[in-house]
Amino acid sequence: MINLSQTVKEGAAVVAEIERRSGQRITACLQCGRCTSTCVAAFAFDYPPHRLMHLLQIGLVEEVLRSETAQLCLDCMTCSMRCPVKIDVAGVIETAKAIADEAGLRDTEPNLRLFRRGFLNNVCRHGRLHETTLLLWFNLRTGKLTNDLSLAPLLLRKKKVRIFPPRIKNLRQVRRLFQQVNGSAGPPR
Amino acid sequence: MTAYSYFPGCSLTSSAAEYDVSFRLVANAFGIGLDELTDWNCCGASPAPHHWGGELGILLPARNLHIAGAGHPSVVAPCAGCYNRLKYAQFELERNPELRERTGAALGEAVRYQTEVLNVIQLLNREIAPGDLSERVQRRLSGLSLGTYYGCVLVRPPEVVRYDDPNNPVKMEPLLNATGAATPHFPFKTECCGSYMGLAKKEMVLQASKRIIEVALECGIDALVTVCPLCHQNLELRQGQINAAYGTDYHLPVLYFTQVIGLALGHLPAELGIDQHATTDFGRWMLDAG
Amino acid sequence: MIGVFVCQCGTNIAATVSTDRVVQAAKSMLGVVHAESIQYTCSDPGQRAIIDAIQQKGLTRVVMAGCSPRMHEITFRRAIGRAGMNPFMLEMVNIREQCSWIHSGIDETTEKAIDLVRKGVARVRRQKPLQPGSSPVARRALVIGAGVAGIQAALDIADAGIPVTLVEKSPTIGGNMARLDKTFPTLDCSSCILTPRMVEVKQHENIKLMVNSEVEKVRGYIGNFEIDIRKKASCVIEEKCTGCLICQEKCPSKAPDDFNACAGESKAISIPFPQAVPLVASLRKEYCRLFISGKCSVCQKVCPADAIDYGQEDTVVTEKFGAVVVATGFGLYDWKQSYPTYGMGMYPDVINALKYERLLSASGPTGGHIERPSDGKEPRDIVFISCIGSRDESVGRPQCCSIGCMYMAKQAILTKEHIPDSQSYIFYIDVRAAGKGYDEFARRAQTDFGAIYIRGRVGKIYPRGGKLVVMGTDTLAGDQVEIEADLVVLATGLTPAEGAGGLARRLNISTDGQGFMAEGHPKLKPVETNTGGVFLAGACQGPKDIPASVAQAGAAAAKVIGLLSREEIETSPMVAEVNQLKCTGCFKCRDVCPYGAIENQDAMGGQVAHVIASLCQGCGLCNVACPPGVISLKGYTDNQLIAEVVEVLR
Repeated sequence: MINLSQTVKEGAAVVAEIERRSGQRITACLQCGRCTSTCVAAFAFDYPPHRLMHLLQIGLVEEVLRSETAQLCLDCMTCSMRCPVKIDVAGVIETAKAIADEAGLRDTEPNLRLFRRGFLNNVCRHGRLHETTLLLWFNLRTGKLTNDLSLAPLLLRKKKVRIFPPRIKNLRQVRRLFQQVNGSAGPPR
Repeated sequence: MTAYSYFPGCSLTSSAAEYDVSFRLVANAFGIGLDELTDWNCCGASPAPHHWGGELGILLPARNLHIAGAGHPSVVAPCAGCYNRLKYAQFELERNPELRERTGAALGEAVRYQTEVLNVIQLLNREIAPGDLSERVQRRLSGLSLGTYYGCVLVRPPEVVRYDDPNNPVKMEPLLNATGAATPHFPFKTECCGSYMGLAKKEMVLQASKRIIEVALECGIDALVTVCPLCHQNLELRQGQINAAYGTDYHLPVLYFTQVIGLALGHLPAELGIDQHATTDFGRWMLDAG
Repeated sequence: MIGVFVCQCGTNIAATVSTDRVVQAAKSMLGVVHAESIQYTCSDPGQRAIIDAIQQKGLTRVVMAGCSPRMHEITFRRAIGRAGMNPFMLEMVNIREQCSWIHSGIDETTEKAIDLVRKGVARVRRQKPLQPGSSPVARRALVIGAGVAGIQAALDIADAGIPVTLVEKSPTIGGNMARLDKTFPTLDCSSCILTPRMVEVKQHENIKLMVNSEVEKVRGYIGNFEIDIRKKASCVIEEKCTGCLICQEKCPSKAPDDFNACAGESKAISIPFPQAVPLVASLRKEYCRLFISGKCSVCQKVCPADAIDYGQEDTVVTEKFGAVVVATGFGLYDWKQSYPTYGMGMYPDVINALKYERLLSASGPTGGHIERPSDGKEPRDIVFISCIGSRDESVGRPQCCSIGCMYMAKQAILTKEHIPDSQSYIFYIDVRAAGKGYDEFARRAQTDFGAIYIRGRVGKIYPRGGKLVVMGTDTLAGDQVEIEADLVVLATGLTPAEGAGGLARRLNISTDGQGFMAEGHPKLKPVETNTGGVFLAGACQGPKDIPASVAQAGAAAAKVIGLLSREEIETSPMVAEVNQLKCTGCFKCRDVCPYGAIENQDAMGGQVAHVIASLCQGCGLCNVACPPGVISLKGYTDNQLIAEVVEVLR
């Protein structure tokens, strides 16, 4: 059983923070479910968008911050376009994800986090993305060497594989951008 | 001849090289000059705004805007993802002086961010009147039903990109119709394809893209038309994976907007890189095309 | 000898305005001999206190600082009249709606209240006693729109012995109710209860019915409206037509069937439905072969009554009315452009509920057999979706349509009665069934007729193998759902009827954010408007169902009967006045006057302007237009207004 008088009180600060950063009013949600109805990704979520909104309404913030939904949302914004009370639902989910990241809640969907990190490291290394090395790196790290292997013959046959990585001239400048965010030189971890 | 700065982005130099090729062919045919940005970098794509607090999602495209600022008045980014990132960076830099400051500090000089950013549909609509295209059509695509697939990032968020109707975009249609092709109602024209989940969470992409293909076929569509390399990858390159996962037998061609126009102008499919696609089950209309 | 009375209005004013400080400040204003603060000035003891002060202190002018004059000006005019003063020696200063309610800090709000009072004192100091006039009342009512509300209002007024003109823009009376199959919550047949009322209208000696007609121009004021009504040419001589329908049968020109919500097809010359009143054909020129290509005259040839007249022209009649009832009803929200994900009208089997109503109706195009538009097949799985263009800010329509939940339940029940092995699904957000017997009815749709209620809003509709996939959410199950439907019925929201905005402007009445006509007060003046003598009935004022429309129509009729039972009504003395000594005779005033209240007069050795006091409505246009500035409005003289501005800028 959920002790509402407790959760509402305890969750209030985080909910207020989400409202402030996203500029959205969680209380405005009337739970019509249209966000979920339009969501292409909800089948993969633990909480469909409308439930996530309701969890926030009743202060169950930990569930939200640790949710797969916050990590897996594709940010396609279809829900935000359709919401009958004009809540930017995708913005709320994105904000929850950012707060979870800051709070160090990193157990949910680690592979996705790994992919994003690999992608950015790849860009930091070359200035541009080298798809081939990203694929190889990711598969090595996750131990799933056959991931997308089925595409290999096709990619090779259709000359879609670029063997050598690109490299831009002023890589130093790009790395300074990374440094700005990460505080350290070189590819962040 | 009007000249534009050109930001191809990573995909157009590798897995979506045919998009670059076909875009240049079409631009050339209509006297549109394209000057590739010098030493451009990756726009950050989907991972940057969703990692490490998201600021790289502004900083990386900001560098490209900065480079473009020294060139022509407008920069075109054919990749819908790159277009979205450039618009986003511009939007944020415009309203956040402190961010502007930080960006400038990292770049080593005050950031130039006000260059007009165009997507490929916008550029071609500006430079090519449907009537002119119609007159120059060598291979009329009559009888062909094209599903205009805009995806999500081209038109959203509307307050940032300010382009077309975010729920029912229609700007591709006039030029496609000028080729003789029909563009029937396609209810999934802005449905998300599964975005960048292809490697890390493949089932999301396969299911989302499968539904788009399924509905396209239901609507009697012969080929989808897109402006996004990531959408193309999910809908086209992964069609075999979709078939394997769901026991389907889809062979729906997915073409870049510029490839369709190139075909109508009389270019051979191979010249437009269409032979580099996985699905070459083009049927009657492509056979006619040689 | 000015008295200032500052109302506390309980805490409405006193919470943000220090009324004591306002009183203190007022005492030092020029001419003020008495000032006091009263808890409720409008209460009986409050009025008593004012009267006492007037009589004891010998006050000759009064400033009331309190609510809006719209609220209580009449109250206080009467009060000071009882104290023996001229009732117009009063100035209402609004320190509530325009001050205490909209500001928060006590100091600033009190400052503003003092400024406003100073302004009022300056003005009342320059006020002169005025005497109201009177004008005769035209004993005839105009009812605009002949749906159930207009019919009810017309019959009630006519039954009281007052002549009524009932104007309807379409070829028949009956409105939207005539299109309904059954009505909730009793399931009585709509036409069975409406048709007798329609016939009564036709037969009533006090009702003059004008169909194909619209109000074109409105002049005058309460008790004395002069209104032009245009009767559009229908190419049929009403008196001759017998309603035999031969013309409709033989007519070769197809036309949309508006009455059946385009569920069927009609002809260019037609009678909308068998119970139409009057039972007279009308020709729509835009679809008629004769008017399009010049070749055809079939209807004229076959008409046994010789009633067809292709040369018929519009006629405009002008009549005098003492009162007007607006009953223009509602239209349906056009969902196609705003709901691209529901197919934008590309799927023939996604229809609005009115069209479905016609498919259910025995008098409809399918004779009461439910056939879906695409292929005429009987549907098995029917999905109803609520709140289309209602409760949806994303399409700019936040309000509840107030009848959707009920008619969806009704249609689900009727569907089950028509097709016993059918399954209805109803997507809802909240089931709003607050009327008498309503909730019991909506429950029966579930318990006795097997409708499945799904709490959620639909995201998308797309085709799959001859069916329509409805993608939605069951928020109670917490998951996405999809239904393969044969037919989708949309509960579209209600809009004001087409042309309602133009009519409102002609009648000089206001409309709300959605274009519905605005009542005088949301609680206390539900059928009045801001224009005296113009009343509202039915859905023109806001979405409502049949019982509410009929009730409001009855109330409007009672107001009209009350007004028209008087011989004459008092007119405001605040009218324009020309200083003929200085008038140059340019007559700019006459040209701008909307009421025709200014005439030429031979005086001062030439032609000068003269105001007909009984016509003047005190709008002030002439006042502004007059180049030498010699017209003034009594009670609003330039002197008074300038004094106010000076005081407020001080």
